[in-house]
Amino acid sequence: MKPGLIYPLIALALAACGDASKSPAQMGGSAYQSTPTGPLSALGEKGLFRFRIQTDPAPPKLGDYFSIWTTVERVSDKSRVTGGTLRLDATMPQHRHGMTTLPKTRLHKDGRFHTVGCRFHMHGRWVIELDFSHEGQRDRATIEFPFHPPAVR
Amino acid sequence: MNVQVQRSKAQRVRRSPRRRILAGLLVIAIATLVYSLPSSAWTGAGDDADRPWTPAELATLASLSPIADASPDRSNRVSTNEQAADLGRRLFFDTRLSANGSVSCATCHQAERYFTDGLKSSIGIQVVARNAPTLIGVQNSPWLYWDGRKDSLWAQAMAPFEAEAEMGTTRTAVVRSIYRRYRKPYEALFGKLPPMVDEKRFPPEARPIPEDPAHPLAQAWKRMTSADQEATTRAFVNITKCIAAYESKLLPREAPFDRYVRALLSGDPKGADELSTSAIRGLRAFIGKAGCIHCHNGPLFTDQSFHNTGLPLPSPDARPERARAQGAWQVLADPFRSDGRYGDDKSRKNPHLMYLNPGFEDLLGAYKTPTLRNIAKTGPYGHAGQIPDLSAMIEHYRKLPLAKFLGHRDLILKPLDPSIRTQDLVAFLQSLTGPLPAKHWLDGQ
Repeated sequence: MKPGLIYPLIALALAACGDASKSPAQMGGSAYQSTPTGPLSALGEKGLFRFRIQTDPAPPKLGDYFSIWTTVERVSDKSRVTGGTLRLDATMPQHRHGMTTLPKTRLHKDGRFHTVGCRFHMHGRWVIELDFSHEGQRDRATIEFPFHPPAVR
Repeated sequence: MNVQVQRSKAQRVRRSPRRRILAGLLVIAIATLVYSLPSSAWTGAGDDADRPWTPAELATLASLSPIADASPDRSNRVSTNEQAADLGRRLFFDTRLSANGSVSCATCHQAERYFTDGLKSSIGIQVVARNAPTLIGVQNSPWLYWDGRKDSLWAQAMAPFEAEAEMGTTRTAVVRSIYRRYRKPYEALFGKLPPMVDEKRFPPEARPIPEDPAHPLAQAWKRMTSADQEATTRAFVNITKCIAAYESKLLPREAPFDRYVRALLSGDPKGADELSTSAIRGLRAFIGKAGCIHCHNGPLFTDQSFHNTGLPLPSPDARPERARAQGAWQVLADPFRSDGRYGDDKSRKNPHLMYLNPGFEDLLGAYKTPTLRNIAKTGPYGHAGQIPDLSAMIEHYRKLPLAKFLGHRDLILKPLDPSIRTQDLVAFLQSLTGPLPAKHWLDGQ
Protein backbone atom coordinates (compact mmCIF):
# COMPACT_ATOMS: atom_id res chain seq x y z
CA MET A 1 0.00 0.00 0.00
CA LYS A 2 1.36 3.38 -0.95
CA PRO A 3 2.03 5.91 1.82
CA GLY A 4 -0.09 8.45 -0.02
CA LEU A 5 -3.18 6.40 0.70
CA ILE A 6 -3.07 7.16 4.39
CA TYR A 7 -4.67 10.60 4.04
CA PRO A 8 -7.64 9.52 1.88
CA LEU A 9 -8.23 6.66 4.28
CA ILE A 10 -8.23 8.97 7.27
CA ALA A 11 -10.62 11.28 5.42
CA LEU A 12 -12.82 8.33 4.52
CA ALA A 13 -12.95 7.14 8.10
CA LEU A 14 -13.75 10.64 9.37
CA ALA A 15 -16.42 11.12 6.75
CA ALA A 16 -17.97 7.79 7.66
CA CYS A 17 -17.88 8.71 11.33
CA GLY A 18 -19.64 11.94 10.49
CA ASP A 19 -22.44 10.15 8.69
CA ALA A 20 -22.88 7.69 11.50
CA SER A 21 -23.53 10.49 13.91
CA LYS A 22 -26.60 11.49 11.91
CA SER A 23 -29.89 10.08 13.05
CA PRO A 24 -32.06 8.57 10.35
CA ALA A 25 -34.42 11.44 10.89
CA GLN A 26 -31.75 13.81 9.68
CA MET A 27 -31.14 11.91 6.52
CA GLY A 28 -33.17 12.24 3.43
CA GLY A 29 -33.42 14.05 0.21
CA SER A 30 -36.47 16.05 -0.69
CA ALA A 31 -37.09 19.33 1.03
CA TYR A 32 -39.81 19.48 3.63
CA GLN A 33 -42.60 21.91 2.90
CA SER A 34 -44.08 23.37 6.03
CA THR A 35 -47.59 24.58 6.64
CA PRO A 36 -47.74 28.39 6.62
CA THR A 37 -48.10 29.98 10.01
CA GLY A 38 -47.99 33.63 9.06
CA PRO A 39 -50.58 35.61 7.11
CA LEU A 40 -51.17 34.82 3.44
CA SER A 41 -52.54 37.30 0.97
CA ALA A 42 -53.99 37.42 -2.50
CA LEU A 43 -55.36 39.99 -4.89
CA GLY A 44 -58.96 39.56 -6.02
CA GLU A 45 -59.60 38.38 -9.57
CA LYS A 46 -60.97 41.81 -10.52
CA GLY A 47 -58.21 43.63 -8.71
CA LEU A 48 -60.68 45.48 -6.49
CA PHE A 49 -59.69 44.08 -3.12
CA ARG A 50 -56.70 42.47 -1.49
CA PHE A 51 -57.34 39.73 1.05
CA ARG A 52 -55.12 38.66 3.89
CA ILE A 53 -55.91 35.54 5.89
CA GLN A 54 -54.52 34.18 9.11
CA THR A 55 -55.45 30.83 10.66
CA ASP A 56 -56.02 30.42 14.37
CA PRO A 57 -54.24 28.38 15.58
CA ALA A 58 -51.36 28.64 13.18
CA PRO A 59 -50.74 26.14 11.81
CA PRO A 60 -54.01 24.20 12.11
CA LYS A 61 -53.86 20.67 13.40
CA LEU A 62 -55.10 17.71 11.42
CA GLY A 63 -58.71 16.89 12.33
CA ASP A 64 -59.07 19.80 14.75
CA TYR A 65 -61.30 22.80 14.31
CA PHE A 66 -59.69 26.13 13.53
CA SER A 67 -60.77 29.58 12.48
CA ILE A 68 -59.59 32.03 9.85
CA TRP A 69 -59.33 35.79 10.25
CA THR A 70 -59.64 37.72 7.01
CA THR A 71 -58.65 41.30 6.45
CA VAL A 72 -59.92 43.05 3.31
CA GLU A 73 -58.19 46.05 1.79
CA ARG A 74 -59.41 48.21 -1.09
CA VAL A 75 -56.73 48.21 -3.77
CA SER A 76 -57.44 51.72 -5.07
CA ASP A 77 -56.52 53.57 -1.89
CA LYS A 78 -55.20 50.75 0.31
CA SER A 79 -57.89 51.50 2.86
CA ARG A 80 -59.18 48.75 5.12
CA VAL A 81 -62.73 47.60 4.35
CA THR A 82 -64.69 46.96 7.51
CA GLY A 83 -68.03 45.90 6.11
CA GLY A 84 -69.58 43.78 3.42
CA THR A 85 -70.19 40.08 3.11
CA LEU A 86 -67.53 37.40 2.94
CA ARG A 87 -67.99 33.78 2.03
CA LEU A 88 -65.04 31.57 2.78
CA ASP A 89 -64.58 27.93 1.91
CA ALA A 90 -61.66 25.55 1.45
CA THR A 91 -61.22 22.81 -1.12
CA MET A 92 -58.69 20.21 -2.19
CA PRO A 93 -58.72 20.58 -5.99
CA GLN A 94 -56.65 17.47 -6.60
CA HIS A 95 -59.07 15.40 -4.53
CA ARG A 96 -62.11 17.24 -5.87
CA HIS A 97 -63.66 17.72 -2.46
CA GLY A 98 -63.81 20.37 0.21
CA MET A 99 -64.15 20.48 3.94
CA THR A 100 -66.73 18.23 5.53
CA THR A 101 -67.88 21.09 7.73
CA LEU A 102 -70.05 24.11 7.15
CA PRO A 103 -67.97 27.07 8.37
CA LYS A 104 -69.66 30.26 9.51
CA THR A 105 -68.29 33.73 8.79
CA ARG A 106 -69.20 36.91 10.62
CA LEU A 107 -67.87 40.43 10.74
CA HIS A 108 -65.89 41.01 13.91
CA LYS A 109 -66.13 44.32 15.75
CA ASP A 110 -62.55 45.20 14.74
CA GLY A 111 -63.54 45.07 11.08
CA ARG A 112 -62.00 41.71 10.27
CA PHE A 113 -64.01 38.70 9.19
CA HIS A 114 -63.89 35.67 11.40
CA THR A 115 -64.67 32.25 9.94
CA VAL A 116 -65.22 29.49 12.47
CA GLY A 117 -65.79 25.76 12.01
CA CYS A 118 -62.99 25.01 9.56
CA ARG A 119 -61.48 21.56 9.74
CA PHE A 120 -58.90 19.89 7.51
CA HIS A 121 -59.41 16.16 7.65
CA MET A 122 -56.50 15.42 5.33
CA HIS A 123 -53.03 16.69 4.73
CA GLY A 124 -52.26 17.96 1.27
CA ARG A 125 -52.85 20.97 -0.94
CA TRP A 126 -55.81 23.01 0.22
CA VAL A 127 -57.09 26.15 -1.44
CA ILE A 128 -58.91 28.84 0.51
CA GLU A 129 -61.67 30.41 -1.58
CA LEU A 130 -62.91 33.90 -0.78
CA ASP A 131 -65.97 35.53 -2.24
CA PHE A 132 -66.45 39.13 -1.09
CA SER A 133 -69.19 41.65 -1.75
CA HIS A 134 -69.23 45.27 -0.61
CA GLU A 135 -71.34 48.22 -1.75
CA GLY A 136 -72.22 46.64 -5.07
CA GLN A 137 -68.72 45.42 -5.81
CA ARG A 138 -67.81 41.77 -5.82
CA ASP A 139 -64.42 40.15 -6.01
CA ARG A 140 -63.11 36.64 -5.52
CA ALA A 141 -59.74 35.21 -4.66
CA THR A 142 -58.09 31.90 -3.99
CA ILE A 143 -55.14 31.36 -1.68
CA GLU A 144 -52.97 28.26 -1.76
CA PHE A 145 -52.63 26.62 1.62
CA PRO A 146 -50.22 23.69 1.73
CA PHE A 147 -51.12 21.64 4.77
CA HIS A 148 -48.51 19.18 5.96
CA PRO A 149 -47.61 17.31 9.13
CA PRO A 150 -45.29 19.20 11.48
CA ALA A 151 -41.63 18.73 10.66
CA VAL A 152 -39.58 16.29 12.70
CA ARG A 153 -37.03 18.19 14.78
CA MET B 1 6.53 -25.17 2.39
CA ASN B 2 3.21 -23.52 3.06
CA VAL B 3 4.17 -22.91 6.65
CA GLN B 4 7.31 -21.16 5.56
CA VAL B 5 5.48 -18.94 3.15
CA GLN B 6 2.95 -17.92 5.78
CA ARG B 7 5.66 -17.21 8.29
CA SER B 8 7.53 -15.14 5.75
CA LYS B 9 4.38 -13.02 5.11
CA ALA B 10 3.84 -12.56 8.78
CA GLN B 11 7.41 -11.43 9.22
CA ARG B 12 6.99 -8.92 6.40
CA VAL B 13 3.92 -7.45 8.09
CA ARG B 14 5.68 -7.24 11.41
CA ARG B 15 8.52 -5.43 9.72
CA SER B 16 6.21 -2.65 8.42
CA PRO B 17 4.50 -0.53 11.13
CA ARG B 18 3.12 1.88 8.52
CA ARG B 19 1.27 -0.98 6.85
CA ARG B 20 -0.18 -1.95 10.18
CA ILE B 21 -1.48 1.58 10.64
CA LEU B 22 -2.91 1.61 7.14
CA ALA B 23 -4.57 -1.74 7.63
CA GLY B 24 -6.02 -0.57 10.92
CA LEU B 25 -7.40 2.59 9.32
CA LEU B 26 -8.86 0.58 6.50
CA VAL B 27 -10.66 -1.68 8.95
CA ILE B 28 -11.96 1.32 10.89
CA ALA B 29 -13.11 3.03 7.71
CA ILE B 30 -14.90 -0.02 6.38
CA ALA B 31 -16.49 -0.83 9.74
CA THR B 32 -17.65 2.72 10.23
CA LEU B 33 -19.03 2.90 6.73
CA VAL B 34 -20.89 -0.35 7.15
CA TYR B 35 -22.37 0.92 10.39
CA SER B 36 -23.24 4.30 9.00
CA LEU B 37 -24.79 3.11 5.76
CA PRO B 38 -28.48 2.75 6.39
CA SER B 39 -29.65 -0.83 6.15
CA SER B 40 -32.16 -1.54 3.45
CA ALA B 41 -34.89 -1.97 6.03
CA TRP B 42 -34.11 1.23 7.82
CA THR B 43 -34.24 3.29 4.68
CA GLY B 44 -37.33 1.69 3.26
CA ALA B 45 -36.58 -1.47 1.37
CA GLY B 46 -37.98 -2.40 -1.95
CA ASP B 47 -38.09 -0.91 -5.36
CA ASP B 48 -36.78 2.38 -4.07
CA ALA B 49 -34.71 0.72 -1.38
CA ASP B 50 -31.67 2.86 -1.63
CA ARG B 51 -33.19 6.10 -0.62
CA PRO B 52 -33.71 7.03 3.01
CA TRP B 53 -36.97 8.41 4.35
CA THR B 54 -37.35 11.99 3.23
CA PRO B 55 -38.06 14.75 5.77
CA ALA B 56 -41.63 14.94 4.46
CA GLU B 57 -42.09 11.19 4.94
CA LEU B 58 -40.61 11.37 8.41
CA ALA B 59 -43.07 14.12 9.29
CA THR B 60 -45.89 11.91 8.04
CA LEU B 61 -44.63 8.95 10.06
CA ALA B 62 -44.41 11.13 13.16
CA SER B 63 -48.04 12.14 12.62
CA LEU B 64 -49.08 8.47 12.86
CA SER B 65 -47.31 7.54 16.07
CA PRO B 66 -47.25 7.44 19.06
CA ILE B 67 -50.85 6.62 19.87
CA ALA B 68 -52.63 9.68 21.21
CA ASP B 69 -54.03 9.75 24.72
CA ALA B 70 -57.76 9.54 25.11
CA SER B 71 -59.41 12.90 25.54
CA PRO B 72 -62.21 12.94 28.10
CA ASP B 73 -65.75 13.21 26.81
CA ARG B 74 -67.06 16.47 28.21
CA SER B 75 -70.62 15.35 27.65
CA ASN B 76 -70.06 12.49 30.09
CA ARG B 77 -69.16 13.61 33.60
CA VAL B 78 -68.06 10.10 34.57
CA SER B 79 -66.00 9.45 31.44
CA THR B 80 -62.75 9.33 33.46
CA ASN B 81 -64.22 7.99 36.70
CA GLU B 82 -62.65 4.66 37.66
CA GLN B 83 -65.70 3.43 39.59
CA ALA B 84 -67.91 4.23 36.63
CA ALA B 85 -65.54 2.41 34.27
CA ASP B 86 -65.55 -0.61 36.53
CA LEU B 87 -69.33 -0.67 36.76
CA GLY B 88 -69.48 -0.18 33.01
CA ARG B 89 -67.15 -3.14 32.55
CA ARG B 90 -69.48 -5.39 34.52
CA LEU B 91 -72.52 -4.16 32.61
CA PHE B 92 -70.76 -4.58 29.27
CA PHE B 93 -70.38 -8.31 29.84
CA ASP B 94 -73.72 -8.92 31.61
CA THR B 95 -76.11 -10.95 29.44
CA ARG B 96 -78.89 -10.56 32.01
CA LEU B 97 -79.53 -7.09 30.66
CA SER B 98 -80.91 -8.47 27.38
CA ALA B 99 -84.45 -9.63 26.65
CA ASN B 100 -83.53 -13.32 26.44
CA GLY B 101 -80.68 -13.26 28.95
CA SER B 102 -78.11 -14.41 26.43
CA VAL B 103 -76.82 -11.26 24.75
CA SER B 104 -74.51 -8.59 26.09
CA CYS B 105 -72.42 -5.86 24.51
CA ALA B 106 -69.60 -8.42 24.54
CA THR B 107 -71.58 -10.77 22.30
CA CYS B 108 -70.72 -8.64 19.29
CA HIS B 109 -67.66 -6.95 20.79
CA GLN B 110 -65.67 -9.92 22.05
CA ALA B 111 -62.56 -8.97 23.97
CA GLU B 112 -60.38 -11.77 22.62
CA ARG B 113 -61.30 -10.74 19.08
CA TYR B 114 -60.19 -7.19 19.69
CA PHE B 115 -63.78 -6.31 20.54
CA THR B 116 -65.27 -7.55 17.30
CA ASP B 117 -67.07 -10.83 16.59
CA GLY B 118 -65.40 -12.16 13.46
CA LEU B 119 -68.74 -12.27 11.66
CA LYS B 120 -69.82 -10.53 8.48
CA SER B 121 -72.77 -9.04 10.27
CA SER B 122 -73.34 -9.44 13.97
CA ILE B 123 -75.86 -11.67 15.67
CA GLY B 124 -77.64 -10.41 18.74
CA ILE B 125 -81.11 -11.71 19.39
CA GLN B 126 -81.44 -11.64 15.62
CA VAL B 127 -79.05 -10.98 12.75
CA VAL B 128 -77.95 -7.35 12.62
CA ALA B 129 -77.34 -5.59 9.32
CA ARG B 130 -73.92 -4.28 10.27
CA ASN B 131 -70.43 -5.55 10.89
CA ALA B 132 -69.33 -4.92 14.49
CA PRO B 133 -66.42 -2.46 14.50
CA THR B 134 -63.65 -2.74 17.07
CA LEU B 135 -64.06 -0.72 20.23
CA ILE B 136 -60.33 -0.36 20.76
CA GLY B 137 -59.57 3.28 20.15
CA VAL B 138 -63.23 4.24 19.89
CA GLN B 139 -62.93 6.76 22.72
CA ASN B 140 -61.79 9.52 20.39
CA SER B 141 -64.43 8.99 17.72
CA PRO B 142 -66.66 12.00 17.22
CA TRP B 143 -69.16 9.80 15.41
CA LEU B 144 -70.45 6.35 16.27
CA TYR B 145 -71.97 3.74 13.98
CA TRP B 146 -70.89 3.29 10.38
CA ASP B 147 -73.17 6.16 9.38
CA GLY B 148 -72.29 8.33 12.40
CA ARG B 149 -75.85 8.66 13.63
CA LYS B 150 -74.67 9.02 17.23
CA ASP B 151 -72.09 11.46 18.51
CA SER B 152 -71.11 10.07 21.89
CA LEU B 153 -70.24 6.67 23.26
CA TRP B 154 -72.99 6.87 25.84
CA ALA B 155 -75.67 7.80 23.34
CA GLN B 156 -74.54 4.95 21.13
CA ALA B 157 -74.59 2.47 24.01
CA MET B 158 -78.29 3.19 24.65
CA ALA B 159 -79.43 2.03 21.24
CA PRO B 160 -78.50 -1.70 21.26
CA PHE B 161 -80.42 -2.28 24.49
CA GLU B 162 -83.66 -1.24 22.84
CA ALA B 163 -82.93 -2.53 19.34
CA GLU B 164 -85.04 -5.63 18.72
CA ALA B 165 -82.33 -7.40 16.74
CA GLU B 166 -79.63 -6.70 19.31
CA MET B 167 -80.55 -6.92 23.00
CA GLY B 168 -84.28 -6.42 22.49
CA THR B 169 -85.05 -5.01 25.92
CA THR B 170 -86.57 -1.82 27.28
CA ARG B 171 -85.24 1.01 29.37
CA THR B 172 -87.50 0.22 32.33
CA ALA B 173 -86.27 -3.40 32.26
CA VAL B 174 -82.64 -2.25 32.18
CA VAL B 175 -83.06 0.21 35.03
CA ARG B 176 -85.00 -2.43 37.04
CA SER B 177 -82.12 -4.84 36.50
CA ILE B 178 -79.64 -2.25 37.72
CA TYR B 179 -81.87 -1.60 40.71
CA ARG B 180 -81.78 -5.28 41.63
CA ARG B 181 -78.16 -6.08 40.84
CA TYR B 182 -76.04 -2.94 40.78
CA ARG B 183 -77.91 -0.50 43.00
CA LYS B 184 -75.04 0.19 45.37
CA PRO B 185 -72.33 1.10 42.84
CA TYR B 186 -74.86 3.01 40.75
CA GLU B 187 -76.12 5.10 43.67
CA ALA B 188 -72.56 5.77 44.81
CA LEU B 189 -72.01 7.50 41.50
CA PHE B 190 -75.34 9.10 40.69
CA GLY B 191 -77.55 9.13 43.76
CA LYS B 192 -80.82 7.34 44.28
CA LEU B 193 -82.36 5.25 41.57
CA PRO B 194 -86.08 5.62 40.88
CA PRO B 195 -88.16 3.12 42.91
CA MET B 196 -88.24 0.54 40.14
CA VAL B 197 -89.93 -2.04 42.37
CA ASP B 198 -93.12 -0.02 42.10
CA GLU B 199 -94.54 -1.76 39.04
CA LYS B 200 -97.54 0.51 38.84
CA ARG B 201 -95.32 3.50 38.29
CA PHE B 202 -92.53 1.64 36.47
CA PRO B 203 -93.82 -1.18 34.26
CA PRO B 204 -91.33 -4.05 33.92
CA GLU B 205 -91.24 -3.51 30.17
CA ALA B 206 -91.77 -0.07 28.70
CA ARG B 207 -90.00 2.17 26.25
CA PRO B 208 -90.82 4.95 23.82
CA ILE B 209 -91.30 3.84 20.23
CA PRO B 210 -91.98 7.03 18.25
CA GLU B 211 -92.33 5.14 14.97
CA ASP B 212 -94.95 2.76 16.43
CA PRO B 213 -96.86 4.51 19.24
CA ALA B 214 -99.51 1.77 19.27
CA HIS B 215 -96.97 -0.87 20.24
CA PRO B 216 -97.75 -2.38 23.69
CA LEU B 217 -94.35 -1.33 25.03
CA ALA B 218 -94.94 2.20 23.81
CA GLN B 219 -98.39 2.19 25.36
CA ALA B 220 -96.90 1.05 28.67
CA TRP B 221 -94.41 3.88 28.42
CA LYS B 222 -97.16 6.35 27.64
CA ARG B 223 -99.02 5.38 30.82
CA MET B 224 -96.08 6.43 32.97
CA THR B 225 -95.99 9.97 34.30
CA SER B 226 -93.62 12.29 32.48
CA ALA B 227 -91.59 12.62 35.71
CA ASP B 228 -91.19 8.84 35.95
CA GLN B 229 -90.37 8.63 32.26
CA GLU B 230 -87.71 11.26 32.76
CA ALA B 231 -86.30 9.58 35.89
CA THR B 232 -86.08 6.27 34.04
CA THR B 233 -84.43 7.81 31.01
CA ARG B 234 -81.94 9.71 33.20
CA ALA B 235 -80.99 6.49 34.97
CA PHE B 236 -80.72 4.70 31.62
CA VAL B 237 -78.41 7.44 30.34
CA ASN B 238 -76.28 7.22 33.50
CA ILE B 239 -75.94 3.47 32.99
CA THR B 240 -74.70 3.92 29.44
CA LYS B 241 -72.33 6.67 30.59
CA CYS B 242 -70.70 4.01 32.76
CA ILE B 243 -70.43 1.70 29.75
CA ALA B 244 -68.88 4.60 27.83
CA ALA B 245 -66.39 5.14 30.67
CA TYR B 246 -65.46 1.48 30.38
CA GLU B 247 -65.08 1.69 26.59
CA SER B 248 -62.78 4.69 27.08
CA LYS B 249 -60.37 2.30 28.78
CA LEU B 250 -59.99 0.21 25.64
CA LEU B 251 -56.97 1.96 24.27
CA PRO B 252 -54.78 0.72 21.46
CA ARG B 253 -51.38 -0.38 22.68
CA GLU B 254 -47.98 -0.05 21.14
CA ALA B 255 -47.53 -2.04 17.94
CA PRO B 256 -44.34 -2.91 16.02
CA PHE B 257 -45.04 0.07 13.77
CA ASP B 258 -44.88 2.43 16.77
CA ARG B 259 -41.59 0.97 17.91
CA TYR B 260 -40.22 1.33 14.41
CA VAL B 261 -41.20 5.00 14.18
CA ARG B 262 -39.93 5.80 17.66
CA ALA B 263 -36.58 4.21 16.92
CA LEU B 264 -36.42 5.83 13.50
CA LEU B 265 -36.99 9.30 14.88
CA SER B 266 -34.56 8.85 17.74
CA GLY B 267 -31.82 7.40 15.56
CA ASP B 268 -31.83 3.98 17.20
CA PRO B 269 -30.69 1.52 14.50
CA LYS B 270 -32.26 -1.42 16.32
CA GLY B 271 -35.68 -0.13 15.29
CA ALA B 272 -35.15 -1.35 11.74
CA ASP B 273 -35.85 -4.89 12.94
CA GLU B 274 -39.37 -4.02 14.04
CA LEU B 275 -40.75 -4.15 10.51
CA SER B 276 -40.04 -6.67 7.79
CA THR B 277 -38.70 -5.54 4.44
CA SER B 278 -42.12 -6.21 2.96
CA ALA B 279 -43.86 -4.18 5.69
CA ILE B 280 -41.58 -1.22 5.10
CA ARG B 281 -42.32 -1.40 1.39
CA GLY B 282 -45.99 -1.45 2.29
CA LEU B 283 -45.58 1.49 4.65
CA ARG B 284 -43.86 3.49 1.95
CA ALA B 285 -46.74 2.78 -0.42
CA PHE B 286 -49.30 3.49 2.29
CA ILE B 287 -48.01 7.01 2.90
CA GLY B 288 -47.00 7.48 -0.72
CA LYS B 289 -48.40 6.42 -4.02
CA ALA B 290 -51.16 4.18 -2.68
CA GLY B 291 -52.62 7.27 -0.99
CA CYS B 292 -54.15 5.34 1.93
CA ILE B 293 -52.83 8.05 4.24
CA HIS B 294 -55.32 10.57 2.90
CA CYS B 295 -58.19 8.99 4.81
CA HIS B 296 -56.36 6.72 7.23
CA ASN B 297 -54.40 9.47 8.94
CA GLY B 298 -53.45 10.42 12.49
CA PRO B 299 -52.44 8.00 15.26
CA LEU B 300 -55.69 6.06 14.93
CA PHE B 301 -55.34 5.84 11.16
CA THR B 302 -58.71 7.44 10.54
CA ASP B 303 -59.73 10.92 9.48
CA GLN B 304 -62.89 10.44 11.57
CA SER B 305 -64.81 11.23 8.46
CA PHE B 306 -67.00 9.43 5.92
CA HIS B 307 -66.20 8.21 2.44
CA ASN B 308 -67.98 6.38 -0.32
CA THR B 309 -65.45 3.75 -1.35
CA GLY B 310 -67.90 1.88 -3.56
CA LEU B 311 -67.86 -1.37 -1.64
CA PRO B 312 -70.07 -4.09 -3.13
CA LEU B 313 -73.48 -4.74 -1.64
CA PRO B 314 -73.42 -7.50 1.00
CA SER B 315 -75.92 -9.58 -0.98
CA PRO B 316 -77.61 -9.40 -4.39
CA ASP B 317 -80.94 -8.45 -2.87
CA ALA B 318 -79.52 -5.78 -0.56
CA ARG B 319 -80.46 -2.20 -1.28
CA PRO B 320 -77.89 0.59 -1.49
CA GLU B 321 -78.03 2.88 1.50
CA ARG B 322 -77.85 6.61 1.95
CA ALA B 323 -75.44 5.88 4.82
CA ARG B 324 -73.89 9.11 6.16
CA ALA B 325 -76.30 11.26 4.17
CA GLN B 326 -78.97 9.82 6.47
CA GLY B 327 -76.87 9.47 9.62
CA ALA B 328 -75.91 13.14 9.56
CA TRP B 329 -79.57 14.18 9.72
CA GLN B 330 -80.32 11.54 12.32
CA VAL B 331 -77.64 12.75 14.71
CA LEU B 332 -78.92 16.31 14.43
CA ALA B 333 -82.41 15.12 15.35
CA ASP B 334 -81.25 12.78 18.11
CA PRO B 335 -82.70 13.67 21.54
CA PHE B 336 -79.54 12.21 23.04
CA ARG B 337 -77.06 14.24 21.03
CA SER B 338 -74.11 15.20 23.18
CA ASP B 339 -74.97 18.89 23.33
CA GLY B 340 -78.53 18.17 24.40
CA ARG B 341 -80.08 18.06 27.84
CA TYR B 342 -78.75 14.60 28.64
CA GLY B 343 -75.18 15.67 27.96
CA ASP B 344 -73.05 17.06 30.79
CA ASP B 345 -71.15 19.71 28.84
CA LYS B 346 -72.77 22.88 30.10
CA SER B 347 -71.37 24.93 27.24
CA ARG B 348 -73.70 22.95 24.97
CA LYS B 349 -71.17 23.45 22.22
CA ASN B 350 -69.96 20.51 20.23
CA PRO B 351 -68.16 21.77 17.14
CA HIS B 352 -68.81 18.52 15.31
CA LEU B 353 -72.53 19.24 15.55
CA MET B 354 -72.31 23.01 15.24
CA TYR B 355 -70.50 22.87 11.91
CA LEU B 356 -71.86 19.61 10.57
CA ASN B 357 -72.82 19.89 6.94
CA PRO B 358 -75.53 17.24 6.51
CA GLY B 359 -76.15 18.25 2.93
CA PHE B 360 -72.55 17.68 1.83
CA GLU B 361 -73.05 15.74 -1.39
CA ASP B 362 -70.10 13.42 -0.84
CA LEU B 363 -71.87 11.94 2.19
CA LEU B 364 -74.31 9.97 0.04
CA GLY B 365 -73.40 6.31 0.34
CA ALA B 366 -70.43 7.19 2.56
CA TYR B 367 -69.40 5.20 5.63
CA LYS B 368 -67.06 5.99 8.48
CA THR B 369 -63.35 5.54 7.93
CA PRO B 370 -62.43 2.71 10.31
CA THR B 371 -59.32 2.77 12.44
CA LEU B 372 -56.53 0.58 11.12
CA ARG B 373 -55.13 -0.09 14.57
CA ASN B 374 -55.26 -3.89 15.07
CA ILE B 375 -56.92 -4.19 11.67
CA ALA B 376 -55.42 -7.63 11.02
CA LYS B 377 -57.44 -8.91 13.98
CA THR B 378 -60.78 -7.31 13.22
CA GLY B 379 -61.97 -8.82 9.94
CA PRO B 380 -64.12 -9.27 8.00
CA TYR B 381 -64.17 -5.72 6.72
CA GLY B 382 -66.59 -3.11 5.45
CA HIS B 383 -69.79 -1.84 7.02
CA ALA B 384 -71.51 -5.14 6.26
CA GLY B 385 -68.46 -7.36 6.52
CA GLN B 386 -68.59 -7.90 2.78
CA ILE B 387 -64.79 -8.02 2.40
CA PRO B 388 -63.38 -11.23 3.90
CA ASP B 389 -59.75 -10.29 4.48
CA LEU B 390 -57.12 -7.62 4.04
CA SER B 391 -55.89 -8.93 0.71
CA ALA B 392 -59.41 -8.76 -0.67
CA MET B 393 -59.78 -5.19 0.60
CA ILE B 394 -56.56 -4.15 -1.11
CA GLU B 395 -57.72 -5.88 -4.28
CA HIS B 396 -60.88 -3.79 -4.08
CA TYR B 397 -58.76 -0.65 -4.07
CA ARG B 398 -56.57 -2.08 -6.81
CA LYS B 399 -59.48 -2.59 -9.18
CA LEU B 400 -62.25 -0.34 -7.85
CA PRO B 401 -64.82 -2.57 -9.54
CA LEU B 402 -68.16 -1.24 -10.59
CA ALA B 403 -70.77 -1.79 -7.92
CA LYS B 404 -74.26 -0.66 -7.12
CA PHE B 405 -74.25 2.15 -4.62
CA LEU B 406 -75.80 5.54 -4.11
CA GLY B 407 -73.92 8.72 -4.82
CA HIS B 408 -70.48 8.57 -6.31
CA ARG B 409 -67.33 6.87 -5.25
CA ASP B 410 -64.96 9.27 -3.49
CA LEU B 411 -63.20 11.19 -6.24
CA ILE B 412 -59.88 10.83 -4.48
CA LEU B 413 -59.85 7.12 -5.26
CA LYS B 414 -57.79 5.84 -8.16
CA PRO B 415 -56.98 2.18 -8.85
CA LEU B 416 -53.80 1.18 -7.04
CA ASP B 417 -50.59 1.47 -8.98
CA PRO B 418 -49.67 -2.02 -10.32
CA SER B 419 -46.20 -1.71 -8.77
CA ILE B 420 -47.74 -1.78 -5.30
CA ARG B 421 -47.80 -5.31 -3.98
CA THR B 422 -50.78 -6.51 -1.98
CA GLN B 423 -48.60 -8.58 0.34
CA ASP B 424 -46.52 -5.53 1.21
CA LEU B 425 -49.53 -3.48 2.24
CA VAL B 426 -50.87 -6.46 4.21
CA ALA B 427 -47.50 -6.86 5.94
CA PHE B 428 -47.57 -3.21 6.94
CA LEU B 429 -51.17 -3.41 8.18
CA GLN B 430 -50.21 -6.43 10.27
CA SER B 431 -47.55 -4.31 11.95
CA LEU B 432 -50.35 -2.19 13.45
CA THR B 433 -51.39 -4.99 15.77
CA GLY B 434 -50.65 -4.33 19.42
CA PRO B 435 -51.53 -6.34 22.50
CA LEU B 436 -55.09 -6.39 23.81
CA PRO B 437 -55.97 -3.83 26.50
CA ALA B 438 -54.97 -4.64 30.08
CA LYS B 439 -56.39 -7.96 31.34
CA HIS B 440 -58.63 -6.29 33.90
CA TRP B 441 -60.75 -4.84 31.13
CA LEU B 442 -61.23 -8.05 29.21
CA ASP B 443 -64.02 -9.66 31.18
CA GLY B 444 -66.86 -8.84 33.54
CA GLN B 445 -65.58 -10.65 36.61
